[in-house]
Amino acid sequence: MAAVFPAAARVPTGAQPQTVDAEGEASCFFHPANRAEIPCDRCGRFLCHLCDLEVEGKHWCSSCLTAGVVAREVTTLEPRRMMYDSIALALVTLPVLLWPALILTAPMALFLVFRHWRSVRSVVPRSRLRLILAGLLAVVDIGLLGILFWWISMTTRGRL
Amino acid sequence: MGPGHLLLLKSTHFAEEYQRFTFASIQSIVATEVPFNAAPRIAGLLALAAALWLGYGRTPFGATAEEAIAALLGGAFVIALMVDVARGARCRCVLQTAVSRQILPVTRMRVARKLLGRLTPEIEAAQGALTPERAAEMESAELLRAEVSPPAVPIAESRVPWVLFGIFLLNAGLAVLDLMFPRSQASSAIITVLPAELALTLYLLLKPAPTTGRRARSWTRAVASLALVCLLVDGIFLLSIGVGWIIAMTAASRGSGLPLPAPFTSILPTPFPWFRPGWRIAAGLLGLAAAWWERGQGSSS
Repeated sequence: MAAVFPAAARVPTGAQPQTVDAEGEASCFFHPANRAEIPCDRCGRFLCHLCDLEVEGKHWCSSCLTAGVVAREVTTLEPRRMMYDSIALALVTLPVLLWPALILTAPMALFLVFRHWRSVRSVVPRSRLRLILAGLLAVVDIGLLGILFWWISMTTRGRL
Repeated sequence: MGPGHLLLLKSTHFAEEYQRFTFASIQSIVATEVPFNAAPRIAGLLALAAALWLGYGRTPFGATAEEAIAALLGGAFVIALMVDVARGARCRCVLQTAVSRQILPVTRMRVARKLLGRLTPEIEAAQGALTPERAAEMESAELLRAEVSPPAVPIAESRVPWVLFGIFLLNAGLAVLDLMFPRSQASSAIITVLPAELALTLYLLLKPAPTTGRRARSWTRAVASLALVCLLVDGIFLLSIGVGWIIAMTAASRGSGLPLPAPFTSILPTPFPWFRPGWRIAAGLLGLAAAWWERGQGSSS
């Protein structure tokens, strides 16, 4: 079963870079033989047609575009998001088999809940249920650990 | 689907990666039905029959544990098989643009049909429909291009069949040694090696191979399928012996008056002592012969 669309027959028609003809003409930062057409809107480097990347109405050079994606200046090209709610939930549920690890993971989960309460979540609809659950479980875990330590200290004191 | 684009989301549960394909740039979406592979299903059904036959009171530790194990294994397999059949034919779905080819996470034909039904109007709204004349032009151009076949790509020969059938022969030797000199407990190594044998057999059966010619490894796979059945029977034997040993240990520790059972590794002999080395020798020799027959014959394109 296949569906073929007109784009398959389209011949690529990219703009061709112009060479530097006259003395004193500005050249591309990355290709000195090509004539500069436009400056990068972020760093100001001169760019030829090959190097000019137009995203969200701005002209970028490749390094600025990469930096912009990392710095989340180019939201339409965001390639990856961390799911802090899932991480927080895992931090309070996975150490069940190795419960002493909760001494570290429960406060970490609580920190993630507060730190990322307003952070953007998945691009698909997703509620705060995981964060709420992680926060509640972290509080319960910390409470139980506190009671355990109190009980151990009381027992030990009685024996000593 | 987003406005003007298809969003491909790859999730590792803790992070999500996104790829967007604008409707204007999608050249084609192809869903290919994956051929029905009967070998694992037949092997599974044989294993199920063997489990049911062997599970009922044929071991020296009573029937309860064996029945439970056989029922669990058989039930799990039957449920998995029914779910697989209910989900319909498998497929491989590929999205093509001018600069990339992306395998979509669609594995069933039914889902692929639904996806195409939803995407096609959106893509045609962005690109327009492909006229029959243009499609015929493209087809003839494609035929011309197909006359020049690409160079053959050499494929490295897999060593897995040699390793697997070699391990079978090695373990058969240990099992024979154990039968001849019971105090050596040589075959106790099988407890450790059995999962590796199982994993390698499954890898050999499930790894994609060319569909035609000797490189399809049909004979190797056939031997591996039969070996899988015997492996599962062996596994059930070992499991039932282990469970029986645990039950006997528990009963003895509760003061039931029964003597403590011998260590687990010393009770490996089964009701059929030559079964374990016998099938391994047969599978090892046949498998090595098949692997030699189907060894690398040039390259595949």
